[in-house]
Amino acid sequence: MISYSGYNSVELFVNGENWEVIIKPSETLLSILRDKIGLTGPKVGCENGDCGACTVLLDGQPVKSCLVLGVEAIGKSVVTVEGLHKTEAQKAFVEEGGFQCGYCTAGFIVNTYALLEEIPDANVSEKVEWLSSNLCRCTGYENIQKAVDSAQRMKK
Amino acid sequence: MISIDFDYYKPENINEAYDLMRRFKTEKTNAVYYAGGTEVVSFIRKGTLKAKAVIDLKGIPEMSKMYAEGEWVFVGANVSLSKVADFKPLEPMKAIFNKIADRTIRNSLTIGGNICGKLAYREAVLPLLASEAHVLIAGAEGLSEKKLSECFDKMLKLSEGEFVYGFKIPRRDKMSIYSRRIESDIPIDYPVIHLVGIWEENRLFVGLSGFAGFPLYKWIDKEQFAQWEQPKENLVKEFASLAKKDDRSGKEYRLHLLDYLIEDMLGGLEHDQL
Repeated sequence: MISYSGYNSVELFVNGENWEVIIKPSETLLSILRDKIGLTGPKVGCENGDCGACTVLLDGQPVKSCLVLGVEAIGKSVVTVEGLHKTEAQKAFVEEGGFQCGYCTAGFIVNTYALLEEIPDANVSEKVEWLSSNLCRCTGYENIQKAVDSAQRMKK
Repeated sequence: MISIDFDYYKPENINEAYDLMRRFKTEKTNAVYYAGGTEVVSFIRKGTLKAKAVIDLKGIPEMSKMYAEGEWVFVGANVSLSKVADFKPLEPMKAIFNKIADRTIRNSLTIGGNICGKLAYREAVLPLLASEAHVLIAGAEGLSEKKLSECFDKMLKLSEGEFVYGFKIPRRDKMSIYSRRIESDIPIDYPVIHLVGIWEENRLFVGLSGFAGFPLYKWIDKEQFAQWEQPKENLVKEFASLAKKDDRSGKEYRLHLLDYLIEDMLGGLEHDQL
């Protein structure tokens, strides 16, 4: 049986690279990514699973990293927004201005990327279903919607 | 950030998990079973759960499986709600599962965690109760199978150290389902009321989440229903006294929504089923 107590040196596979980090079982994936690996793309928002600013991919599935323990990510692939450099989702958000203050943007890009990987022909209701997991407190939804549509067109 | 420390264990079979929990109980160490983490991590972070040990059940491979076999669909307790919703043999229930939380949360939130959680909603239990699902419970004697309705009363009744291994759901290609969920704010919030109506050949299932401090449900025989002169009023009366008041809604608003949703549901029922 695997068990962890106190500080442990573990390996996490993040954005295609192995990272050796010293973590405690009580540390969330979000805090490890930001404070130990230095990836500040995933944002600290509500820390309650509501806002989606901390969204990352865990074995390809978008999850809210504030609700995932770091030890759960051992042996899995983690992708943050930094790992989506030059993807259609990133380009589309830049070109369409799919952000206002930008705090929620990383979560939206990660979720958009995951959606289009899983359902390239996603229809409007599928896009709404997936992206309602992310909140934009500036209410910049119109340009976010344009960015998602644009990313979908670029991928085809 | 989580400000308390705890130990993490990932047993690989049900005996290891059960024995570990029993050991912690004996040692008076506060331990908690863990699956998707959405509730446990939130509670620990807020300080409402003071666990010193977390037992992650995701190391038990069978609990993450889901398959159809003959007349049954087996769903391991660790299967995420998004996978359950997308599983073809459970297609008729998709509309209910897809209303719970949001897609990204459903990628983590497990069916077992939703039903066994401390939060009052436990919305995933409604379609399972309606379809007369069975629950597989892991305990001292290994696995035992029970009708879910026989061990669910406000919450799943488990003995100390027991945990849910999975569910066996009768396979149905067609189910006539009404499901409507109303929130006070954004759609991903907890429900003020989630009404599920399911029409079987000879009876009607009505289930509610968010309306009271626990999920409610009733079966009404078709014959009994047919005798009611005022079906809406009778159905409302079945649940009305349990309406709760909280920071999402007052009692009166919940009662108004109950009245409205039952009328809406019966509108479809008159045309389709009776």
